[in-house]
Amino acid sequence: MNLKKLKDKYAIAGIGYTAQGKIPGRTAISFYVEAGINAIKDAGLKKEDIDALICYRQFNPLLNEPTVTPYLVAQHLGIKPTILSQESFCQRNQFIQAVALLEAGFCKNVLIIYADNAATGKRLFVEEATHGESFNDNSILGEFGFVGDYAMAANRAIHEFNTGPDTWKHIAISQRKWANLNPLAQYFNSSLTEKDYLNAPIITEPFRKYDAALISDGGRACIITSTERAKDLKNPVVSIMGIGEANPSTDVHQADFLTGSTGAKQSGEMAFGMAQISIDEIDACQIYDCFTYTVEVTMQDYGFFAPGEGKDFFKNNRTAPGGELPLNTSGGLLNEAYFMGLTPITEGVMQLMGRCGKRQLGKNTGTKKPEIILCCDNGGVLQSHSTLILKKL
Amino acid sequence: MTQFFPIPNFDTEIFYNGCKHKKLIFQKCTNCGHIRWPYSFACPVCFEVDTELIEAKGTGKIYTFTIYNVAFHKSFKDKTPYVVAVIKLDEGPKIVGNIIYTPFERIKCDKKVKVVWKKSGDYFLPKFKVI
Repeated sequence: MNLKKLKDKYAIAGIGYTAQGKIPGRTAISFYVEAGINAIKDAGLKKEDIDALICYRQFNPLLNEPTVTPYLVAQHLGIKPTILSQESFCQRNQFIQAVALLEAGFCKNVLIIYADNAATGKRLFVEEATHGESFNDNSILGEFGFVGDYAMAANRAIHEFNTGPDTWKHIAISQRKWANLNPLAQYFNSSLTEKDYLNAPIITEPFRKYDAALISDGGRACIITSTERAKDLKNPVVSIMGIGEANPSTDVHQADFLTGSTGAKQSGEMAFGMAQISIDEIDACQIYDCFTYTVEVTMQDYGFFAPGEGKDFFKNNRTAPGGELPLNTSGGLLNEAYFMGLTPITEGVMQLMGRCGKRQLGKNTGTKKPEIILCCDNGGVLQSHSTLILKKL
Repeated sequence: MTQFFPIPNFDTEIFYNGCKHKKLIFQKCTNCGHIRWPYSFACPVCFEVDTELIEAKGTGKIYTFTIYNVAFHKSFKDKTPYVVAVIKLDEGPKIVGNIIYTPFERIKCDKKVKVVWKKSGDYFLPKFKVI
């Protein structure tokens, strides 16, 4: 596979935010529309320029509202795109799909969106779990969804390489420090001490409350186009230096990759091979953090440390504001808001564009001004993974 | 209050029919010998379709587990905390099951377990205890 010709050829040209957190009185589709319009405007494009719409998976509607199909999103945005797509089971194929479609010449400007009203609708992420068994077969046993499933992955990791709360507390606390620099974060103005972390209720052993991602209302969107076109648009150009994807696929109940190698290894090798750089050249990381353990195993598989060395790697604020390797600088899924991989990926873009205010990497936070940021997305229970290496051109 | 009971489908009926008689029944590939779970039309190792059915002894090890302290469904409100585990049976397949009759501090990965059958509707369900 020779992906080097794609290096820096495509760029992320605009980001769309919405009101986020707990925003009562809004349907899921309303957040899609808000995020989509804001991304198009942010790039300096017109809606007529959008010829591909790729939606993340939309779960079942929670309130008395329509199911968010890609047709409905296109209709509400008043567009008739050549390409219309939505995944169904959290495969993280959105960005590779966008790059492949652009490279093949089927379209010029791709809009990617995820949104939900999960906080107001009280989504439990139970029926959304995508097991090989029927929902009923798991429910008989009291096996309910992602929180228990990732906990099983984490318990195996405790057994194999002696990780646990002593590692994860550093991840949770460091990311909370970032959230306190981000007024959009759900945990803005809310400190988290080691004692708070350890005393929090255990939901599914071994996970405490602060090991788990937030549930959010709101949405996020971004525009992918060619670097050449992006140079004529509004924002500083952030190129896709490397991209990768891997889908280990097997259900958590039968998987043999829960403790690594997860998809991060193969996907990372693809992305770093395309970018022709090593992890030493990464200035910051935006890592999909549905749970603290996900951050650990992902960074481990990317090669930042050997199995079990996470405890030392994450301590002493290394990944917190002012640390040598800033990680999840918006607060992440744990502390900012849950918009699947668009939370970490759009944060990577915003940092490279230099639009992050108090949390902006550089002199505001006493760190290096970033040139290259590693971002990733993960779906199912470690069943799908994608990697993006972003660069400020 | 809603409770969940086994509802076999075209694929799981072989397993659940075994459970009626307190037997753990799996497909074994007649070509490569791979014992598979979940049920599948063809062997995921060699694509052979022909199988014979084998009965697992009901012993294995805890591959991993979690303890639910929170009920995600109303029918489990009075059952927390309870244990959901992935059991690696000695014959090979990994199946999901509850661990019962075992103090939580004895529940660890790779601990040996054996099956304990518990009535569930018209069926018995395989649960496990640490031995």
